[in-house]
Amino acid sequence: MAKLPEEVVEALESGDTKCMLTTVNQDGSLNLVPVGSIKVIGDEKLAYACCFDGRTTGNLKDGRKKVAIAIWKPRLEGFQVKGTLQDMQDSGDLFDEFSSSVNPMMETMGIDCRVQHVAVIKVTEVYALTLPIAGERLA
Amino acid sequence: MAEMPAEVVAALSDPNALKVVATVNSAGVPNAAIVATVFPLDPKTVIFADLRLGKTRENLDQTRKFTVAVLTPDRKAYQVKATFGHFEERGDVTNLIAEKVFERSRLQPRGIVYGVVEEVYSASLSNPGTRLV
Repeated sequence: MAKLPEEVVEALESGDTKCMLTTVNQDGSLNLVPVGSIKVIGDEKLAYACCFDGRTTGNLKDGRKKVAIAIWKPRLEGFQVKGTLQDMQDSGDLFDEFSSSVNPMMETMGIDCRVQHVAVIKVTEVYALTLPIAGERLA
Repeated sequence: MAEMPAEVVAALSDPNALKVVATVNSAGVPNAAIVATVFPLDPKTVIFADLRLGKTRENLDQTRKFTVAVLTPDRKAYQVKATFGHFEERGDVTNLIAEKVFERSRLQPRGIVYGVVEEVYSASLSNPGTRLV
């Protein structure tokens, strides 16, 4: 487990970041998708809403629990958080919290889907992705 | 080998789009890096510069698989799965890309990664996971 650095927490809480999350498919290829709902949960965890039961959720449910998340804060800040799925929640406070914020947003955008699960990711490593220090380990 | 649809080529050509390259090592640990230099050389080939690629390069040598995801300012998103073709330190294309990269970043690329496009998917909210090619 690793502690999220302050600058990563600030970036994620700014509401101004774009994040992409990758998981590993059964054949060893990568699934890489934008994820718009990542939240900081304490110092060492992230959580996001799974709205589509697609390949990302499938990979995590199948036991390929390692993820890498690229975080970009315009214009010049970038981080990579590596982690492991700790929990996939279908109910409870966290699920309700995500549902109450994400579902109305999806409805506003005309997207026909609702929060299916909330994935809780335990942070294991954090790296800078900004040149010239890209690749430097932060935690 | 597959050909990227025109809309995907356009998204990857957009300098304002967010582009991320994911790789995996032989132990199954994924890596995701923001790579602004990703560019569609042609509909079957995606390239990007090695400016400071550490794990990405190592992983490409180990497993040869990578995926590029692109998110445009108007929220169109695509996922391009590719196989690592080769790495070129010098050559006409590499020199041209290196010049352009240096103009923008003042950094000299170590070379260019060439990838062969294998599969293309939508990652937009309206049709996530839909296979385009």
